[in-house]
Amino acid sequence: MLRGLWSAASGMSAQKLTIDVIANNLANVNTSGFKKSRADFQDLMYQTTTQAGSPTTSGGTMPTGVQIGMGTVPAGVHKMFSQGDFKGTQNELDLAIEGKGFYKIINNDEEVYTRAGNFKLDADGYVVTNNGDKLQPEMTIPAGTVNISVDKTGTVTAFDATGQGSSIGNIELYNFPNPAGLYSMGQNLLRASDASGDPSAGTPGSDGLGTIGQGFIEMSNVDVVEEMVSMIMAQRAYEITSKAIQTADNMMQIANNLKR
Amino acid sequence: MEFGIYQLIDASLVQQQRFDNISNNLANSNTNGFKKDILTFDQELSTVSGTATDFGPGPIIHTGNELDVALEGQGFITVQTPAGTRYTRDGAFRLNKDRNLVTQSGHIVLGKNGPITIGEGNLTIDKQGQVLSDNQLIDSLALADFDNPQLLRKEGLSLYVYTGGTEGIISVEDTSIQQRYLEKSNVGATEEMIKMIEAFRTFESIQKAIQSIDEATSKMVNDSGLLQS
Repeated sequence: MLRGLWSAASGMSAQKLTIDVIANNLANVNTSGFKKSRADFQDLMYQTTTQAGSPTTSGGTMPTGVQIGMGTVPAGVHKMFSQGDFKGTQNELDLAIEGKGFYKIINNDEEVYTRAGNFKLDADGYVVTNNGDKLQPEMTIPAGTVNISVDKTGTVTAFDATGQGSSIGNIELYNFPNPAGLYSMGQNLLRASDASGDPSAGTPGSDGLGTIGQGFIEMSNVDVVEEMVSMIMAQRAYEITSKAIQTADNMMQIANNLKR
Repeated sequence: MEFGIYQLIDASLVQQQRFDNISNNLANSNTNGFKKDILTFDQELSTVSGTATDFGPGPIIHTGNELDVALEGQGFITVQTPAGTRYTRDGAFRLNKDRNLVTQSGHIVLGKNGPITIGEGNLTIDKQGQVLSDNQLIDSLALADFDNPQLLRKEGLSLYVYTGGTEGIISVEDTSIQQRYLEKSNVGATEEMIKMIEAFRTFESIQKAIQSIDEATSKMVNDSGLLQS
């Protein structure tokens, strides 16, 4: 059968993957702390039908061989950790990370990481995420607190009704040798993996870590125009490889009709 | 039997090979740094004499990702694989857990002093290929060019293996590195479509010629020697 049929099919499934990734990016255009992904591709192996340098019947040697490629393969879906836009919310527990780093939280007894800094308080005064997972190291806001202040380096101060401030802890940020290797769990959560390396903790603003911006949330870093252009590219490439499949089909039909 | 029919079979196999090649080019129309292949023929157009790679530049697009680099001009990025040194034009790099610069397949990207380990600070790759972390020079990308690039054999996964001697490896001149950009595939959709139509129609007319020979043979076998009544 025609090799080209399978090459074209690999092209179609590659473009389908691109569309899947773009669709997820677009769906999360308003998800705070979301980081967009990008699908990248590589060519598949080559079938060498004639080796370069092999002798020819006339006594010479072939200057170039004949190599026919087998199509394309996804090389990876890569998370892009560029900074998202900041949106001012005036909410004292919205803490955006300005620069690199992640918050550590405990989800189902497991240490996981997130950049979504829209924290809340639970019934016991713990600082938690939208899902009720506790921020690490754990922090409680004492009863009677009127006002919470978080400075750039993550120092949290609670003020009571008399205006008396007391320091209640420090927010730590965590970074990875290779953040792009983190495993996405959904719900804005990321888990360390073999590819990401081990987390290292630090004070915000030191060791290359970002600073904390109180009263802001980090929006998604998805750029709608860019995604739309990629979507057009993927759709057209899908279309053109489908034409190659049609052509292969027609060629095989012609060959079949040789024998009447 | 007619000799013509065997030549036609060869010719239709050639058109199939052309189609396979076009199909691969089309499938890689969105592969970073991909270079299209062209089939070359000997004089009678009846056999394929080889595949040549068109190393013409692909479009360079802005991605904004600090680990993306595009080569503007000739040359290749040197990569270390378990099978030996390989070359690539795909500049979509990653970091591994040891913070080495690697390709998408996890192969080490070589600098002039071996693997490149990136610090925690801001990464800059300048036009000469120097890799800087917070303006501290770490290493330079090891770029290579070749006297005869056609001696590069495609290995898949965007890698090339050089099959010539070391004297054919030359230093890269007038090539600038663009950080935050990627070189896309140099496959032109219009050109490949036209080539595909051409291959298809040639295939079709060859099949018609085979049918004509078949009909003539059938007439000769079945009808000659019959007396007209």
